[in-house]
Amino acid sequence: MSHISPKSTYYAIFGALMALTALTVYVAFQHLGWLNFPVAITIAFLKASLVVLFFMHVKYSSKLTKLLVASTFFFLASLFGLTMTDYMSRGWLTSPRGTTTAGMLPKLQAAELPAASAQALANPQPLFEATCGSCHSFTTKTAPTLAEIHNLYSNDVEKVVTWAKAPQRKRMRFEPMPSFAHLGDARLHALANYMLQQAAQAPPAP
Amino acid sequence: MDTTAVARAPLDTPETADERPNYLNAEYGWKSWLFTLDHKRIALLYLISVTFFFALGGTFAAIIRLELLTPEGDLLGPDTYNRVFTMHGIIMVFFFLIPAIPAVLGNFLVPIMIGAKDLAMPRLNLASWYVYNLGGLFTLWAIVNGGVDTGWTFYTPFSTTYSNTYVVPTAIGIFITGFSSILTGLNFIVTIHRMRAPGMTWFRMPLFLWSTYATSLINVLGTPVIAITVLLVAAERIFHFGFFNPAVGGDPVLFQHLFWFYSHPAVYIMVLPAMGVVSELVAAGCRKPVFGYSFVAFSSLAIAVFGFVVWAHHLFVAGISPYSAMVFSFLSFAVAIPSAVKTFNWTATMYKGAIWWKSPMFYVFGFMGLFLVGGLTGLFLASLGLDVHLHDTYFVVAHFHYIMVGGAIMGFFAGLHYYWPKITGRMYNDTLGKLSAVLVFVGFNLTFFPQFILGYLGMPRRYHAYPPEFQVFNVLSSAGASVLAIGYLLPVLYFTYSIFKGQAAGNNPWGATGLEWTTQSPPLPENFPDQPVVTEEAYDYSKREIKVA
Amino acid sequence: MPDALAAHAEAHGHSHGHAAHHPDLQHHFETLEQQKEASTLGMWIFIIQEVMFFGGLLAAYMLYRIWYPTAWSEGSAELNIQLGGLNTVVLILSSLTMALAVRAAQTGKQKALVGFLIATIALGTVFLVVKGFEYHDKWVLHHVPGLNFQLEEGQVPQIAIFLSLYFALTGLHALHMVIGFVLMSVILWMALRKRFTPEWYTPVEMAGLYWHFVDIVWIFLFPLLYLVDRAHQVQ
Repeated sequence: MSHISPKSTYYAIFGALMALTALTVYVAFQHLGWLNFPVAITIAFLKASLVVLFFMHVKYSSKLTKLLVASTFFFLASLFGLTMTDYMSRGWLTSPRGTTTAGMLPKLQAAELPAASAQALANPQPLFEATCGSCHSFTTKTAPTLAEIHNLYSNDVEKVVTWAKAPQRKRMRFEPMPSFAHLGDARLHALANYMLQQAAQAPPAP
Repeated sequence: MDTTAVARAPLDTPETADERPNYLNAEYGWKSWLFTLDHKRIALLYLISVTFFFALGGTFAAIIRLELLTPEGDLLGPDTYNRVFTMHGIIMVFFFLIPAIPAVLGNFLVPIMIGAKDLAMPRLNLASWYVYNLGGLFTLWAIVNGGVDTGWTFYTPFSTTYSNTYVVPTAIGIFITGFSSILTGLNFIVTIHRMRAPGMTWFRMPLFLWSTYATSLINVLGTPVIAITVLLVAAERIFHFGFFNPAVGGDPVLFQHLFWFYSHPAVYIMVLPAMGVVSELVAAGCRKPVFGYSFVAFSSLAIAVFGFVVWAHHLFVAGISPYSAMVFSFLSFAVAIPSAVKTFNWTATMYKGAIWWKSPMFYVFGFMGLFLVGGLTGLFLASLGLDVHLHDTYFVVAHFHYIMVGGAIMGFFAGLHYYWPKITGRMYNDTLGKLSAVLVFVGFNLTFFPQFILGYLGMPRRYHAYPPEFQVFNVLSSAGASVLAIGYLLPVLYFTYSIFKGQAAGNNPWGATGLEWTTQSPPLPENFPDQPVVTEEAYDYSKREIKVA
Repeated sequence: MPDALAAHAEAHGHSHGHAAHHPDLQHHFETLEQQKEASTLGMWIFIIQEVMFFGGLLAAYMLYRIWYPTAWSEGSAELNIQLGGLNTVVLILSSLTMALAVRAAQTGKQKALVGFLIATIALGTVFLVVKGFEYHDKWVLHHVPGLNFQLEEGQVPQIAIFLSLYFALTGLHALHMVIGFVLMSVILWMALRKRFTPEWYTPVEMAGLYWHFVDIVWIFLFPLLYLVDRAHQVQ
């Protein structure tokens, strides 16, 4: 018949589980940086293994049972792992024109755009709505908000313009920003000014 | 072992129908059927249910093909058309293809093939049938109330936020029916592990059992993920959680990852059992052991395992990372290899075989050709560059219908025609059987081959209206669908007729090996009068005499 | 026991032609051992599919935790670590009592079996009651997405996703606890009617496997939900 564990085994395992619970709470309050998460998961795995091996008697079960339990983690791992190959590698491949739709759309070359009129430069709002504003607003989720841009650049219009001509990829959670060099310096300066002013004048973010 | 074919002994069928006690005449009355624990009766209950859903799904298909006869959207409005193709997909996938072979042929044959009296958990088996029908009721309720228009793939955020159809009841219906698959798979795995007859080692099992085992693994591991996914869709619709809503930071592509994590292995749930049937029929039909038995057995397991790591080939153009896409593309090519192994081995089995041309073999050959086309066109779609062009076109539609209909349904019909004598104790009209097989083959190719061309030329799927230059192929397709429909209707007629007037079948009308052919037709309620003991290898056709007592 | 066997043989109305078998041996099995192995395998497969069921939610959790670390930090801070810790202790204790209940069945100790089953059910109830208090608190604080959610000052909007996952994960877990509660009640009822012996106590063991699985899910949920970035909240 099947193995009967002595009571002392169960009490000992229970004690170990309590100790590990206390440990995981303790460690959670320590400053380990990125290690906090792996340590917590490791302790959880240890606790789970104790329950599986001793409370669920897998240590004394058939080879088939052991194989089944072990293989479950494989399948779970493939779900997590392969899904994350997508998310973790998004944005690795950035061609000059970008890999997003925004990057794929044909861009007017600088020579094709007429020179900006003085009126357009004085009031850049419509141009802003048509270009930067679709991604950068106060409540946007797809790109840094105007408030964040203002935080980063305060009044440095030149830096904003430099970025807009050749955006780098700094944040994984956003799609790569396409280049707006084709708008030309005059427009870019007007837009950058406008954006920073808007952010400066806006009430503090909630 | 002598692997050349054995000459077929003359068919030895009794004069009169078998009046001995069997599982069909053991008890009468509706209670003896609705509360049965006999796996064979439960298989027949499933046969009735899946046939109903097949007819319903086929009706929706007929409406689709009627609409697509003309380029204009004249028969149905765009919204109605969306609902029609969605319900066609949902019914065919979840309520016909996934259950059909495992629940009908699997339930009937698994215990008999391994020499057991029943499945490991007979009550769970009956419960699975009720659960299946309960899920079906939810979906039927949704249909009656106008159906769902999201496509069977339920892509977010349309299904979660914008669709105003009965998504939640349908999602619940699929969730419930999913449990039927899980529990049946569970039952099969336990049965195959723990209830094999003395002497029935793993490598003496018929290959149908290997396929059924692999299918059951997929059922148990994959179905829970679609279960949680449809629950999340329902939760999002009701509570607006936002998992898949970009406005609050969710990712719609995550839905696609979770959905296809199941739905790709699901297609192997649909086709593996058909491959199992084909393995059985190729051996019996050619009077030879299957070439490379262990390769075919392991290829079933390989398909099950590999099938779990290719899902994102459905997401190639959804915005996933190109690096990830390359990985999945490579894996999608790899998953074709075990299927190819099976195809080569079946063909090698036929070499120097003594093929007998009865209805089941007609369906088998149909399967071989159509599955080949379907499988190869899958490779087209696995190629990243081609998929950009072909995704969401009729090329994809043709590809999966070649596998699902040309493969899985052909396999199902082959199995029905082969095992009908065992299940009912009657022979059906073989000429009509052959005619149906030919009609199905011709009708199928006429329906779906033009769709490859349509897709290549750029006709998108799920469109109710199309440019006039596509009309000629659509008309061919719809014409083929009519022939196909006749091919599927005929068996209903001659099978039903055979129940009442068919010639008695005898134990082993095909002269095949296997424990199932040593019992009477129809079998006893407990399958065997005495516990069988297995001493031969599978498909041992080396004996010159096959007992047909 | 011999009385039960004799009664069973009589009830059959015929002899089996072999030794009379245990009344709990179902007819399609040859031995009790085979039946127990089949039941055990079946329950393990069921547990594995439950793991995959939770796995889908955990995949969503993993993705959004990587994307929104601030939301996760803020959201976890909103959870009551004392109640969560208490529930962890309660549930692990209930796993102990469950394991001892199975042991009591194995050794034929009827009273101990009933006692430990009652203890398990009681501890499970404590867990659910505590959870109820937690959910109530969340409701009062307007932290329930889809029902009364209000974003607070200084919080990032994606905290709604964290809270959604919190309710989805713990809600699904609680549902499994309720099912476990029903299961345990049935087992208790059978135990009270003295159905279990050292030869046959399979339902107790199967229910135990299910209960331990529910415990294991919580063992993971506790750190994943309650212990995110706690170090930075201690200023």
